[in-house]
Amino acid sequence: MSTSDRLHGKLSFADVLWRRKYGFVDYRPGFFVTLGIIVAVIVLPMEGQFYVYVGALSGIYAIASLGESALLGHAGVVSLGQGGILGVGAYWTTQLLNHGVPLIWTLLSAMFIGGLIGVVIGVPSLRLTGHTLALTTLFFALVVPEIANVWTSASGGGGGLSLSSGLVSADTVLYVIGAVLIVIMFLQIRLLNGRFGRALRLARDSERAAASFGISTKAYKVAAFVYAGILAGLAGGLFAVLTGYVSPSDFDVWVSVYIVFGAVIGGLRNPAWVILGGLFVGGLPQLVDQYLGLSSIIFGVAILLIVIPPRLPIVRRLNRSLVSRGKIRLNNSEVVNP
Amino acid sequence: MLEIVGLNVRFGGVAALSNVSLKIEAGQIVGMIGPNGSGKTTMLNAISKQVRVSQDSTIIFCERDLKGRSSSQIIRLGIARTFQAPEVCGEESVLETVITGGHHRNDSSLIWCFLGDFRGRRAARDILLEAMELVKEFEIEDWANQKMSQVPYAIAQRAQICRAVMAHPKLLLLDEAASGMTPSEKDQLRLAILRLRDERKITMLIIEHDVSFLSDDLSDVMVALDAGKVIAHGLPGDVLRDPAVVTAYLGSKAAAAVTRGD
Repeated sequence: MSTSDRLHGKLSFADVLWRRKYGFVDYRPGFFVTLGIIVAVIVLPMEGQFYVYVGALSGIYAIASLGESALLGHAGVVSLGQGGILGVGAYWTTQLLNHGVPLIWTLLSAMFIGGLIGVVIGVPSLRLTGHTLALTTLFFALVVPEIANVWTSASGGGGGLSLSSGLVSADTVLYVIGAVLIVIMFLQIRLLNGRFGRALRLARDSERAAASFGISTKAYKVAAFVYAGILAGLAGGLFAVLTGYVSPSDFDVWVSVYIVFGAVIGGLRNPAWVILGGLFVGGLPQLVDQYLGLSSIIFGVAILLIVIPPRLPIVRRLNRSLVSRGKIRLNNSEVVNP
Repeated sequence: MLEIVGLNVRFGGVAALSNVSLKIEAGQIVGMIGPNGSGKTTMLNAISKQVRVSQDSTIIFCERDLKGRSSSQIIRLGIARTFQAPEVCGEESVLETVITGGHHRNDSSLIWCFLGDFRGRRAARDILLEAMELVKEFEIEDWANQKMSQVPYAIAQRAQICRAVMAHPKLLLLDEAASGMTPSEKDQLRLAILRLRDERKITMLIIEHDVSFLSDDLSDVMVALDAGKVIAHGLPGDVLRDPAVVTAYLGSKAAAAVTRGD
């Protein structure tokens, strides 16, 4: 079907819904693959609470990585502070649940708090360029556990805070996370593939052009920060519910780093693959620890094996020759100059 | 429609535009010519409020003073522009780029965007359909699915024009619209521009280096700039024979030759 035929054809609601054809990246394959994986993880019988825990923790990282991918891949902003927001969300959730607030309101308010922090980090960061911006967010990630150590009345200090009421079984948490992931994946695909994503990417690549079409770069970048913050807050809340206990050491800088890893491994663009990246980053270290030890080394090697090979010249040439011979398509668009 | 009086733009110590005055009536196509560095692009930047103008400059568009307006408000007033170097997002397709032009027409607020943007879906569908029509009209439909970073310069320029037209402007500012095009492509573009004026009632201010592109019955009025000042203004034929204009482009000997009637 030539481009002309597609352009002449009528638009169905599914076309508009999925933004497929007509020059958009078709996210459906990724969506259904990831949907299948999420369902498989939830539905597969798992012997032992450990696997349920790993599955849920992977999902939590996936949620946070989704937010980070919007910032990194579409707003062009590096945030190394999402782990800090996650931590705040976790402590907030624990405190509210301990005071008897129902779970749904706790989680919603954690998302709100996360969004608020997104504004607080986002607005000043508009004046900063890439490297300074990254350092500032990193600072935030470092500061959160320190504050938790010191602000004993709110956080229980170094000893941490236990969840004493509103406890939920790990299985339930897993189901909730699975459902949440599917919904967010769908919403984020629409968000990034639609008006918001286009405006954000144009603001990133050409402020002048964005302004000339009514897009305020500042507003959209802050909105991206808010979005990432909301997801990190939610991830933190779910973390608190999953583990039933939060302490400063749970939210060290590595959480932020792993969240960025998850987004990058997932390719930044397609939310479906970002989820898989987040699942990988959240789950692999746990599984490796259980069976092999040396999780950091193996994790690092695994990341290199995932990230480097597609970028090797040999592989790139192979890709291009396959594309030009019509065997495969890259990102749903035809490469003109192989 | 557009009235500029005493426009002054300075970059540090350099006067990019000095005391420029210009009037554009609705439905006109105004061609702006001048050698490199004469201030043509600065003119467009001033109108679209992307460059600071001096306090005594006056720019009035459709009876509205543009003083104090920010660059993102200009589109809602009805002014759209293209850029000399394609200012686009490289990883998006041509069609997506064109659709971006309709951004301000879809009024669904930011919050709904986060929730699946179902509220704006009708506007989005209309914009998508219109983008597809525009892409066909400007003969870039074969490139509609290609990423902007992989598309030839002339196609990218046409995509920019489509994007600007998507915004349903009253005034369209084109910066070097025909650059990188073959003669036959330029003819097509001329026809497309005339269609924009006749069918969509868009007034245009077109900067172009290729003077012949502007003169053959395309522009109603021509303005010539040199070193930030208006040196000629009027019918294309008159402006192109104006000695000052010829001097600016070709030097004083050529101007003398023109005056002698060679």
